Parts: sequence; C-alpha cells; structure tokens
Amino acid sequence: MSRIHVKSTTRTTTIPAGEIRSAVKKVYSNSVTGRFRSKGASKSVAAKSRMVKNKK
Amino acid sequence: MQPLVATPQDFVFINCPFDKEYQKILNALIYCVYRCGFCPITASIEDNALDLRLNKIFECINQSKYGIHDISRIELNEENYPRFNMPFELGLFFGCRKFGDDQHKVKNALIFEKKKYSYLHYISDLNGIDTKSHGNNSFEAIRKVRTWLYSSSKRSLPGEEAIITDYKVFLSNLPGILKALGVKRDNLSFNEYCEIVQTSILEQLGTNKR
Repeated sequence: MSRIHVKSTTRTTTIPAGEIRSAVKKVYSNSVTGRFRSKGASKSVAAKSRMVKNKK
Repeated sequence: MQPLVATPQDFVFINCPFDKEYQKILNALIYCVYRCGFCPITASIEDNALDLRLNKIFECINQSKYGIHDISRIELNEENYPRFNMPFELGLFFGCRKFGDDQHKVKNALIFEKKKYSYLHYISDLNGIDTKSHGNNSFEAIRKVRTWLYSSSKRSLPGEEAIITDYKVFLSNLPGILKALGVKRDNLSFNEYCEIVQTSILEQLGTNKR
C-alpha cells in the first residue's frame, strides 16, 4: 500500500500546536497498543524472524 | 514527520449538524478524512466574528473539491422549525458545480440521509441522486466515506477496516490526550479536535511505518 500523507491547513487554535504534539506523543508512547504496534506489529515477517534468530 | 499543505484537491467540506447528538459521527468523519490523506474544513475553521457565516460557507465550498453533506437531521426543533442549513449548503455546493468554472465542474459529493431516498419526500428536485445512510453508526460512516473517497479520487487509500482499527486506537488514547492538555472534549473547537486528530495520525503512521 502506498504511504498516505496527512494534509493540513492553517487553523486558529487556543492550544499551541507544540502542546498538542507533546500530549499526543506522550500518550501514544505510553499506550499498550502504541508500544505493541511500534515494536512488533509493523515489522515484516523477515524482520521478525531475524529478531527471533538474534535472540537465540 | 510533518503534514503536507492541503490543496483544493484535498479539501473535504463537511456540511453537517454541529450539536452534541451528532458529535460521534462528526468525529469519525474527521478522522476518516484525515486518515485517507484529505483535509476536512467547515465554516467554523476561521474564528473571525466580522466574517459573515455565509461568506465562510462560500469560501469553504469554493476551496473544496469534495463535500460530505449530511441531511439526515432535518427534523423539527423544539419550536417546530426544521433544520434547513444542511440542505441549503448542499444546494450551494450543487450550484457551484453547475455554474462555477472548470475547477468547480469536478466537485464531488457524498450525501448522507437517515433512510435511503427519503429525501424524495422533502427535496424531490434531487430525484435520481444516489444517497447513502450511515444508520447513526460511526464505523458505518467511516466505511461509506472511505469507499466514496476511493471511488471519486482514484487514490490509493488504506482499507476501511484498517481505518476503523486505527480509529479505535485513537479513541482509546483520546481521554489521555485531553487529560494531558487539561481540556474537556465538549470544550474543544472543531479546529483543536482536527489538530489532535492529524497529530495522532502522524504519530500512528510514524510508529506503524505504513
């Protein structure tokens, strides 16, 4: 599947974009789903088998 | 990863009720539009009290190639008046496509209503238009929007179930994000919710490497 790019436009907000970024980053890095996805689910079968071999 | 600047080919004008009862569907529409690589806009995007609301609507319609129009909620209010904003803005969108220049001739719309073809009872002029129903179910709304965006844009998009899975992850993380920001969902503006959604998708895409 080709990569989807997030498209944005200028929006007036009362919360600074930097604060939103740090809040989202903090929550996603701590969430169980986020950790699972970043460490395992997105890796290819070949990459996973390399990980298993390395552990052995 | 940074978001790209949206062009008129990416803008999706969302014409729907902005009340609490509709919030679940609207949240899902916004997420799906972003996740498919498009950018949602509404008349509330600019918070300038000096701009007439109708002018903001004109500007949104002028900017957007795509439009999602939900006319499923035209019921009478407590004072027995129907809600005509959505059908009116749908009419403007149609008019823009009909009478606008070349960039407007390619406008494309998705029309939601409560029960398919019930519009024939109240806007019979639309006879022959294919409408869709989300049955007040946010996941069904995502499926319909994704299918429509795919067929009308011919772009390569994530599958509908993949979007729903990611949306569920987002929903499970949203309370934590709001807590970290010290805000309540009901107090978030459309723009702030959009910023949270697009930042979350960037974070998900960054970790998923999809």
